[in-house]
Order: sequence, then C-alpha cells, then structure tokens
Amino acid sequence: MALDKIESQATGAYATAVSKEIQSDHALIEATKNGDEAAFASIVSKYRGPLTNYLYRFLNDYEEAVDLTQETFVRVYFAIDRYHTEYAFSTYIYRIATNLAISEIRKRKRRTILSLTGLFQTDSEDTTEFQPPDERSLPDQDLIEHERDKVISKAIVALPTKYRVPIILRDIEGKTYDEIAEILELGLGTTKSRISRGRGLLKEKLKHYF
Amino acid sequence: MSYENEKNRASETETLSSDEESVSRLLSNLKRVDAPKDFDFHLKARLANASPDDYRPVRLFPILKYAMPLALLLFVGAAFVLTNSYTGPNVPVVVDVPDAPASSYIADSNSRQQAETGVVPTLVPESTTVAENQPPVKREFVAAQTNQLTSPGSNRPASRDLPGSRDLPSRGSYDITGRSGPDPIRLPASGNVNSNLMGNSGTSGPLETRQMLRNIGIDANAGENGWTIRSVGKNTIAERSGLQAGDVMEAIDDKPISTLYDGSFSAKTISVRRDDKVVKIEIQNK
Repeated sequence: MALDKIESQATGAYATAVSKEIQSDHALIEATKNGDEAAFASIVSKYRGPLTNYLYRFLNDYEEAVDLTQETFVRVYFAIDRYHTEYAFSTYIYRIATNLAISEIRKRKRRTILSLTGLFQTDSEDTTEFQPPDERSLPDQDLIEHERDKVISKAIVALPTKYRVPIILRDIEGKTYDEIAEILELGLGTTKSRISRGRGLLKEKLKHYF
Repeated sequence: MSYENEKNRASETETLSSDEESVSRLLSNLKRVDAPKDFDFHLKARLANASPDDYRPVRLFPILKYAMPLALLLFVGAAFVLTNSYTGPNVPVVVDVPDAPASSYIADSNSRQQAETGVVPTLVPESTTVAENQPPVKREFVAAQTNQLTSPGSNRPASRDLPGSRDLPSRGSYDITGRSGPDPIRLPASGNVNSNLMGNSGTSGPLETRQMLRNIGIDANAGENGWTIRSVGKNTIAERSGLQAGDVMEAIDDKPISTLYDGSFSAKTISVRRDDKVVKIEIQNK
C-alpha cells in the first residue's frame, strides 16, 4: 500500500496543514480520492489530537480512545469515495467517532452483563485512567490539579450519553451549537437544552469546586 | 491553534448563566491529551491489514432488520384471524340435557311457559288435538323444545328413566312418543330419532329451522329459493320420507319455510324442487 509515507510525512504534513489554513478539508479529501497519500496524512495530523482528546473525555479510557481514533481514520479512508462535501468534514469525522464511541459503550455494557467477574468489579476498575508515567515528585499545585482533573473526568463519564456528548463537544472541543447539532443529527433547540441540562448535572456533581 | 479560535468564536455568541459559565470554564481548563507518538505507525499498519470489504456498508441488513419482524407479525396475525374465523365442520354441538321430570315428556310453547313459571308441565294436549284431526294415513311430527322442561338441581340426561322410550341416544336426546302408525309423531326440538346425525342444541327460545330440520335428519343450508338439502341421515324420518340430498325445500304444508318456529312444529308434507320439478313429499315415520 502506498501509505508508507504517512509516518514520515506526519510531522512535516502537520506543520504544512496548519500553516496552510487556506487549504480546506474538502481539498484534502479530493486529493486523497485522487491517490494523494500526503493529503490523507495531513487530515490525520490535523484531527488525531482533537479526536483523541474528545474520545478520551467521552470514554475516560486513553487506550480505547486512541484505538477508536485510529478506527475512525480507517473508516474515513475506506469510505472516502462516499463522503459528500455538503457536510463539513469535521462534522463528518466527529460523527463517525461519536458513533464508534457509543457502540463501544454498548459493548462495555454487554460485557459487564455477561461477565461473571463484573459482579465483583468496582467502578474504578471499569475504566482505565490515563496516567502518564512521571517519576518526578509532583508539586502541590500540580497534584491538586491532577486530582481535580480526575474528579471532573469521572463526573463527565457519569453523565448520561445524551448529555455527555454535546457538553464535551461544546465545552472541551469548542464546537459551535450548529456544528454539534449536525454531528449529533439533532435540532438546535434540543442541542442547546441538552448542553444546558448537562451543565446543570455537572454542577451538582462538582458543587464543591464552586 | 484552530481549536482556540473555535472556542473564542463560540464563547462570543453565547450568553451563559453564572453556574453554566463556571462549569464551562472548569471543563475548558481540563488538560488536553494528544495522540501517542506512534499513532501514525499503528494507523498505517491498521490500514495495511484492513480489507476494504470489511468497511463496505451491508445493504441487505436494514431490509432484513425490518422485514423479518414484520413478516413474523403478519404471520402471527393471520394465524390468529384464521383460527378465530374458522368454525370447523358442520358438526352439531352435543350438550347434556338436564333431567326432566317423568311427567314432562312433551314440550311446546305452553309447557315452556309453564317451566319458566316453575309449574311442572304435562303432556301437550295441543299436539294430541292436532293428531286427532289428521287422517290416519298421514303422519305428523311435532318438534318441541324439551330442554325447557328442566327440573332444578338435576343434571342427568333426560333420556334416562323415560318409560316407553325407544332408540334412546346415549346423551341428551330421545324420542318421546314411542308410538307408530297413524298416531301423530312428536319430536323434541332438541332430540332426534337418529343420534348419528342430530344432536341437542341445548338452546332455549324459538326453534331455529336448521335445528328443526336436523331433528328429522336433514342437514340443509338456506338459499334464495329455499333450503337446499346437503345430506340426509340414515334411518331418519327424512330418509324414510324420500328426501334426497340436492332437493330444495320450498314449503312445508304449502307454506313458506319460516326461519323460526316458536317452540313447536308440525307438518305433513314438504314441497321440494327436484330436477326443476316441484314434488310434494309426505312425511313418513316408517
């Protein structure tokens, strides 16, 4: 496969893609359709970070988030011919990632039901917290922030999916209401009310931080 | 970074309450995680190992997803409707006739009224009167509803312990006269001579023509021109009188066949259309 250049071009392509803001996603897609692997590498470089962060906040599982981000790109790659340019590409790719994450949550629920050992698992064992190894002793402020992030992450994951997704897209990924409505295929009013409701639920869970 | 621009653009157009704003700020200050350094390497390996066929949408599945349950639902619904609408072959329902008092052999409309009022009925004088007025050669049958003649608290079939009864069927029907020759023939509406064909309807109220015909051995369907005989029971009054399957009964005693007979029925002749000819058949008991 002519994807050998992906890794080598990743760093360079990332810088190129960011610096060339003029080049739209649609142009990259068209180039990928025409066999330009560098264009696809640019797409990967542009979206791998935001998607990984989005899925990590969604699932609170870093390994799973990385795996689903890769799966998202694989699906985009093989379905590139079916992509219609009437939608923004960012909407399209976030929708794929969201659907994959929702499927993953359903699989987890089935596994929990079927697994006998699941009876003895606690909530903390259900998800793997991303914790990069760090041998240094943490300063107090960093320790406090780290603990705060953990608590907030758990509070987000504890939200029902229908509130969790829009609030992550809005407050963490910075998407507009219109974009979120398109990604979730919801009406604008429904999207806004879900975000508002999700914030209210989070406020109750994190009231000691306010 | 474009993300930051998006964030700023979004916040500019949004008016938040203080609570929502504090939550939004808390979330936006979370540390961002990035893809691992070997992300592209693993993605490349994954693309190389994946088959495009695995990612083609399956077109048939959505059809099956809805068609199969729909077909199953239709099948169950059709089975339910057919089961409820099918009445089965035209087999008369046999119902136990409760015991009648020994004196209440014959029933007619008067005796039914007596039974309803609690008075034990006796032999029907009207039938006897009718029989006495008829020529001795011709025979008459009287159908009456004996199931109206019930005594409270008794469940045994009326065919038991009846003096002079003949050819008593095993359940619920009997010939109440036991007489032959010129004497009038009386048949209970719910009883019969031939237990193979006829049964006891166990119903009360006016006597239906179909049930009355069954009592003399005729299985017939009503039509525009009369009652078409489907079959005639063996050793029944109808067979002995010469009625045949296919005959269309047009009149009884030269009167059109009514749909209901109030309690009793008597006749001497039946007019039938056979091979486009009207034949008047006398009722024969022997």
